[in-house]
Amino acid sequence: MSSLGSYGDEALTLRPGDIIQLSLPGEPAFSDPFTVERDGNLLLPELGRVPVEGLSEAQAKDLLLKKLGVVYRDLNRFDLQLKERQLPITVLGYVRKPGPVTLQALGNIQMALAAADGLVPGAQIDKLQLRRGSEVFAVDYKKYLDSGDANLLPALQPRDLIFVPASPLIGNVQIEFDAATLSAGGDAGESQQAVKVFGEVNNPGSYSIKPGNTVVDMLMRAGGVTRYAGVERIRVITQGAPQLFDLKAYLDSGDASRLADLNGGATIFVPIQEEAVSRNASTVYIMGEVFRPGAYESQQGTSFFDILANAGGPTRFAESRQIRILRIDGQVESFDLQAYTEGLVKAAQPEIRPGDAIFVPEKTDMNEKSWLKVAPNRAVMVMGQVTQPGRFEWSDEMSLLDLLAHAGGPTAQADIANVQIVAPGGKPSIFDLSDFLREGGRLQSLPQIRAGFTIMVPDLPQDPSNNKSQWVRQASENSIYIFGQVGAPGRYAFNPQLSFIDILSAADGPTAAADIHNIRVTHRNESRPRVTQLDLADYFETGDENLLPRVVPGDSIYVPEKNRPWLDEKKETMVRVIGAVAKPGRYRFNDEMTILDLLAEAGGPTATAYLKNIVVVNVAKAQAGQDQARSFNFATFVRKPDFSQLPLVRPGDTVYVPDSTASNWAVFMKGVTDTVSILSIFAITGGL
Amino acid sequence: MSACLNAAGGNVKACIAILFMGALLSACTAWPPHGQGGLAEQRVPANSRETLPAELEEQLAALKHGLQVVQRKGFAACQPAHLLAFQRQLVSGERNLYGGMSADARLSLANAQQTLAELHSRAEQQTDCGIRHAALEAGNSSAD
Repeated sequence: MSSLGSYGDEALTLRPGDIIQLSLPGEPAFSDPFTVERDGNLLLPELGRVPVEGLSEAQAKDLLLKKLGVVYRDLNRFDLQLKERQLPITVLGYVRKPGPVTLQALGNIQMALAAADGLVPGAQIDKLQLRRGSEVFAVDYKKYLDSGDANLLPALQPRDLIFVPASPLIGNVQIEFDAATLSAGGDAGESQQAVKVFGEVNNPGSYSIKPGNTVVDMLMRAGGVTRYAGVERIRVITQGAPQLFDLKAYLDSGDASRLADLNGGATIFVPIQEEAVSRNASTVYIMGEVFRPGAYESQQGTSFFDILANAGGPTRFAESRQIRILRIDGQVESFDLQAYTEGLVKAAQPEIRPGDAIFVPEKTDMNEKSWLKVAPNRAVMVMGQVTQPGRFEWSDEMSLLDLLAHAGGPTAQADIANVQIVAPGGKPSIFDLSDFLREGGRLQSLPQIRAGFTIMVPDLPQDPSNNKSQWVRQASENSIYIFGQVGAPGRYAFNPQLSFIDILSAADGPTAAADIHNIRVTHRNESRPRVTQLDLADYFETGDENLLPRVVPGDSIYVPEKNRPWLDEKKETMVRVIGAVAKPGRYRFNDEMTILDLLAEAGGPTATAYLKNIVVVNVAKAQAGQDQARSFNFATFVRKPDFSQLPLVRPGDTVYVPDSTASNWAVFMKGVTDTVSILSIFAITGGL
Repeated sequence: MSACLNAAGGNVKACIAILFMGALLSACTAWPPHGQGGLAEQRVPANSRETLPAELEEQLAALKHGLQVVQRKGFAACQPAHLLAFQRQLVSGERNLYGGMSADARLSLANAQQTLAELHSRAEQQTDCGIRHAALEAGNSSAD
């Protein structure tokens, strides 16, 4: 059927929508044109409804003349003309303004839809219906829109009904319809013709398939695959037959034969990328303290640094000195990355072959380290008097000084003149570090340290007065002995550079009870025993260093006490004071004193002392000398002092202060008394 | 008593007088002679009761002169202890001499002589011992 027609054609018959112009001069009611109603009638004044549908113009004119002749008299100039044709149709369904619309004579479905204010979202436009009487024609309006072929649209006739159905995707409940979601979710209203795309795609849903669409097209319709998609394992089920589609291989090769078959009703599932264990002929593994450990594909010529860089490089916890390469044949190589980057070693970077694994261990000096992490063949042991003894990792470019510094350095107690270095399986050696530090030297003169060595820093001997158990560690040839009345007698470390004053001070000096006039020093290192007597008071008086004896390790010093047992005081050094004094006894004496000092020291004469004849007995020291006794008239001296008449008193002498009973008068009187007594007796007995 | 009567010729009064004298004498002859020289280095006894050996007196005088010499030479600065010992030995010798112990005085003076010789020999070994003072002396005398 064609919608095209031409006016003036004798075969045209009137139909609803036609506009008829009736000319009846003198009758204003007929000046306006009349439209044939939908029921095929003309609605005329005076006449009412006149059926004209199907009549030709001439027949319609005759009919009207007949009917009008009843009412009107002059009909000679009555004429009927078809002025314009129209299409009265009805548009129902998913349009904005369903209802009757009147189109132009050449109107088509599109215009009808436009006249109904357009389609409502959700209209199923490929299944429009044209109802004509009892006939229903299906119209694929979508196809017309796709192609522009007007022949796809049937010609419209008056009283046609265009029905726009709703898409089955709408659902039974009228809601605000989001066309974008629908289009994103697939537009296939018919599940049998739709391709269902789900899984790791951006817009999973049902999509209508067009002839020639491939899996790739459908994936694109679904918005493409997400970044988590496992594109090597896309599953396609077509007509019940499952297929595995490797999209990556297809994209690599471009081979269209790899594309899976696709029909309406197919299912495409894109799985998520699984952590499959990657293992193929060209995989290299990198593990441990790198940013992105894992398996990497390597090609010919991939170097160690390529892989390391691809893995993000070592983290800050990595022990880059001890990188291991585990070869596929079981060998383990080590690689010192730090030395390589410092330029310390000339070795090339290790060659990496497929199947090798690179292991980057973590540093051993982090917080919770275990001492077992440092292997014995990489450790040195530092013991003794250092701040932080322990086991340390070793590398051969370090020196002994580096090691001791790392161990915190020697303590104040360390005897750095005797650092012991013990090599495993070798002989221990002693190194004089203090000499090295004093004199200087080249680093090459330091002893060579290797992993496995033990370095022991001994301690200096401790103060013997504080720690008696340490004394055995001090050798006798380094000790000096000091006894008697000093603050801290004992055994002291000594060396020939020290002096007598040093050792005396080390022993806290003489006590208050010390007799510093009679210090004895025994020189034990000579061929014959020799004892030196030292008057330390003279030293302090004169400051003469020559008085101090030279002492060496092994000697002994004795500081006696002032109040010794009397047998220890030699008679040659004492003066005896006997008789009528307050404190008779033995007293020390020297040539700076006189008898007066002695008597005062002895407490002075008693009240009954006979002061006119104090007797001094001088004992001769010389072989040829003669002992003598002299008297001293103290009573006269105090009245008329003459110091030249003081008697001689030396150590070893005796001073006797007689009692008053020994005085001349007392003796005389005693003699007289005795005589008188005897005479009396004689007289009495004689007289008898 | 009978001896007394015999000695007195039978006179009782004479006998009693003898007895008194005996008692008196026994009281008077008990004590040793007075001593001296206990501070001889400062107070030389004027009238010496002892007979002093002449050679010891001369030796003492020489040693005292020697002491003055070494003191002038400034030995106190470089050998104070030995100088002090020398002085003590001199004192001992002088006291012994004036106190009547000649043998001991001889010993002491001999020791002092030895010490003086050692002072001189040690001074020769030390670089500026004894020289400085002499130089000072020379300087003082030239400044005068």
